[in-house]
Amino acid sequence: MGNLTRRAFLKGSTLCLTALGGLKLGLHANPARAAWSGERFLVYVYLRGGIDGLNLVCPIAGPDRAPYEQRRPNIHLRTTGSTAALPLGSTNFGLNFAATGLHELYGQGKLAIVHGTGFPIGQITRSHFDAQDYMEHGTPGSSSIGSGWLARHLAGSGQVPDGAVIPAFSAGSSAPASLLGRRDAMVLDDPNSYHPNANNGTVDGVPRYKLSTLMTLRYLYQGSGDLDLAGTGAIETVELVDTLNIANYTPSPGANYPSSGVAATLGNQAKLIANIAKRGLGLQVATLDYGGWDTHENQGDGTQGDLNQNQYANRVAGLSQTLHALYTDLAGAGMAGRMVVVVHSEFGRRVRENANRGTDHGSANPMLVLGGRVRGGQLYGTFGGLQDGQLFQNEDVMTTTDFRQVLAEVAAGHLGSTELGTVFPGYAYPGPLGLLPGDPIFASSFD
Amino acid sequence: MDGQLLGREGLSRRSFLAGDIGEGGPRGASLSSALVTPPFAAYVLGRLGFGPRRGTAFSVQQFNALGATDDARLTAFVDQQLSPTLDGGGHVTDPDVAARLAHENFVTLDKSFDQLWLDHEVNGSLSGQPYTRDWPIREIERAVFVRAFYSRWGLFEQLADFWHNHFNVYGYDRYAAPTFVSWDRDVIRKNALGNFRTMLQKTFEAPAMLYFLDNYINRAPSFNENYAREIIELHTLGSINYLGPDLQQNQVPLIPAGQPGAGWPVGYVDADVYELARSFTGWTFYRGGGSNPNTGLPYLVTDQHDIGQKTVLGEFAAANTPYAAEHQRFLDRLAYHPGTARHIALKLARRFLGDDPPESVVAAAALEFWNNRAAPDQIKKTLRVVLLHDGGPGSFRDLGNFGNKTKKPFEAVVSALRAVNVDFTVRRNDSASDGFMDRFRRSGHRPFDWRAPDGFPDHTSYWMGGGAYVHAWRTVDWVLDQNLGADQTPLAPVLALTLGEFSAAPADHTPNNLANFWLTRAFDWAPSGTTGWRGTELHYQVASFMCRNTDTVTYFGADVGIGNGPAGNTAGIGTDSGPNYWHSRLRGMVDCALFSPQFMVR
Repeated sequence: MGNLTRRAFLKGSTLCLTALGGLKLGLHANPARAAWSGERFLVYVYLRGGIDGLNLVCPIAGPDRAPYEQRRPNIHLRTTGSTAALPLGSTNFGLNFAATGLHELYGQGKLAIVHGTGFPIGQITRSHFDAQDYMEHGTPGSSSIGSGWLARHLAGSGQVPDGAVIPAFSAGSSAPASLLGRRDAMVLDDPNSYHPNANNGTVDGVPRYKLSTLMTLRYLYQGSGDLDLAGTGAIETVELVDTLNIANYTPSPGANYPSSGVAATLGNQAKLIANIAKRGLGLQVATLDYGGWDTHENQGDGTQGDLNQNQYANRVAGLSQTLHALYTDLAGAGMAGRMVVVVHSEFGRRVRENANRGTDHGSANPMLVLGGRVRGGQLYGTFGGLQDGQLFQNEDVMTTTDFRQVLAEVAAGHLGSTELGTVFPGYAYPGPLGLLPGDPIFASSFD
Repeated sequence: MDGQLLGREGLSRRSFLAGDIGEGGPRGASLSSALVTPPFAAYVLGRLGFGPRRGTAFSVQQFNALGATDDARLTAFVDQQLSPTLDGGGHVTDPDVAARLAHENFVTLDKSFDQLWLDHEVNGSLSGQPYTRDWPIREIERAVFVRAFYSRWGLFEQLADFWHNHFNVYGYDRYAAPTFVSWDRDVIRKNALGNFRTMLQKTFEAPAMLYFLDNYINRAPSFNENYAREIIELHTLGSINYLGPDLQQNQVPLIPAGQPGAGWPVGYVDADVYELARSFTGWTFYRGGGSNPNTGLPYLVTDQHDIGQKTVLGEFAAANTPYAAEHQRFLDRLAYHPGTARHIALKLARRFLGDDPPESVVAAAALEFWNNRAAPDQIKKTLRVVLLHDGGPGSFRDLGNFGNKTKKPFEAVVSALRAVNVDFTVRRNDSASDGFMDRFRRSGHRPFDWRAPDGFPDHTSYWMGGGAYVHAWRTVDWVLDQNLGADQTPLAPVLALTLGEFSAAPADHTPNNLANFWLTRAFDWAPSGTTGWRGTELHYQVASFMCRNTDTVTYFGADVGIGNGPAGNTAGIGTDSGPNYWHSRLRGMVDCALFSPQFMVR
């Protein structure tokens, strides 16, 4: 549907590939429709490389604290001093000292943390590439289904608003496997210079053959194959970037996205998601990738407060700042309640640090769920413990919650999916963890 | 069953899944409904290299001169391409490429490993633009474009790309950057058609790899498993032979008698990774510090090496086995395991045939790989089976494969620029080259810029549409518009080719004729010997572009000579003033041909 409706939208806009005289790029009123004003959307953030979740959310007290320190003699997070973990309420857990933005959101009750998520026991893999593939397909142990879980949600939920122009958005140069099969996902790395023919000088302020090139490409890709749809999606993205003047965007006050350092790209791309979401074009899911978490060595000692010396904490700081900015940006527009952010990674890392003050591949990991409707400020799921006999295969945090339970709750409870059997085939959904208020019926407006 | 390779298929928890070797639609399903089936020659040239280039051995005309039938031509062409000319050191030679790379902006390509280490590591600094430490990777990331544009050994260049991705290291990584010339030349290209075990050994001794996958600090007792895991999962057996973390070594079934690898475990478990990681403890390279030399050569730090007994995939090494012998036995086991043969055969078939290659081809190639595991030309023999084995539909010779793969950005840009006969030596410290790379980078396919160890994705869905297309197109468009130097020489001689090869007569410069000429040149073939591309939808759309004015509403006649048109159109194809901007329009028309679905598939 996306292709047809997007085309209709573009035809209705002033960039309709007709007369240059009537063409003005980048001045359009926001075409949001009343029917979409309550749209809810998901931002699915994927941390590639397997984040060391135990140093994002670590025990700071209780019976797991001693084995945590003992198994991680150098890299464990401290409980005192300038690099002390940030306590999560009155629980026995704390956040990495660099996650100040996340800590604030937790305190505000907007961020929930689910302990011990991963593949079901028996289907665990410690391969990055298999684990990412299976998770993004939504099918543990397999990727043969040939489509991503988000793509199946979009196809089956019936909740993509009528006339949605951008139901799916992927920040980057290629869409991730979770959107595999959704050929109309808008994919954009940066709205600047996003055009296949813009170098010939201008006529009346418009690149000379820009419109004509897009027109021809549209005709060339008007077929029905996957590549035709993908090409059309790329061409429409070029048109939308102009029509909506995507490059011109000012975040809400206080939304301070990282603009330099390891998270500069992440910050820009998160800002792009907020930018798209606020346009009111029927956004349902957006994806965002943040790599570099395969910290086999020197991930940073627990005493290293200088982020230039502490690569893991530095990366966490970038993630934290980005998510805080994204939330603040949407909240400033009165849209925080429409957004849920899920932060996911292919696996956690081994409890015991390795020879190089790094960590090798493990299994269970926390997932983060953030949003205005999220019942945050709480820990969900079960932490399996770090004491002798409690670890999976004597080395990893035990998986206690199937990652699909978290995703299914968001799909059903936030996005209104009634077809979880299609989104996660073969999965016996045990019901919600309670991350979201009991609101199974998709409401028409919020905020 | 004799002679068949038995992998762990049939035994693992994933074995019931038919989708192990592919995703998406039925085999051979075309990605676009708008394609015209090309002649066999054009299909082969698009698959085995980077598309045809007129006047070279890699052209439709030359391919068709190789025999009387498509099968005979394919065999002759594959054999020709699999036997490139070599210099005394066994390195592939190509005079056209060599002439380009002799440019003064390439200064590292002839340096030995030792010289690279001295000049760019020991004395390499983090100053200058680029850093002198990074010159080797900077020159190679650009040289790969030069080779792909101009080499007569297109299949070899594809294969080098394949192995670079198979043994992926991030090019600007700390120790990859200063040594990348040697990594490319001595590790990858030298062995790309040779023996897999030899190549594996070279990667095992390279500081680029030992650093990238952290083995340089893998120390007993609490080892670092990174390299050990990826050498099994990515470089040898592959995750198709991973039995998961739940089985212990003594629970893994063995390959039955009579099969290749009989008596060995059918696949690997996490314990094999840990055992190999123990074997690799202490294996690092000299990088100065203290009294150590600074040479980049690999060595073992004996007091960081775990001397206990170990077992990897059924191969047992007793306690205190000398490390070199132990490494050799374990690497032999990995390289010679039939699961590795299947993994490599499957990856090669996916690269050249399609995301879902026929099982018979994969099986035949795997067997060839295994049977020739000690042969110096093992990979060449394997690839020959991949390309020539007739396993029915979906085999390489099946023209029905056309359109089942999209070009990756590198392939899209290179094939487009070959079609327009680009004159462009992409090189270090050159403003046009930097402008080119800045644009190409955004496609997500900058050479050697994949940060994870698995290499750029090969499955086609990843590369369809999105920024991969838009930025590949933008890069091509930019090249077509560039004029350099005092005499403003165009990088891509679009106008010169039009006037030289096609017709210099203004009356012939009709939109229909120009579209037909350029489509025929872009693809190096045409559907009809007499009417060319005329009558196709593609021709209609491309010619229509040439008819349309910048305002997209004023039209010029499709059969009117541009030099003889109504007032205002008399300036002719080579000029670029309003209202018609003919030269820009001509280049834009060529863009459209090169951005079409017909051109974006293989």
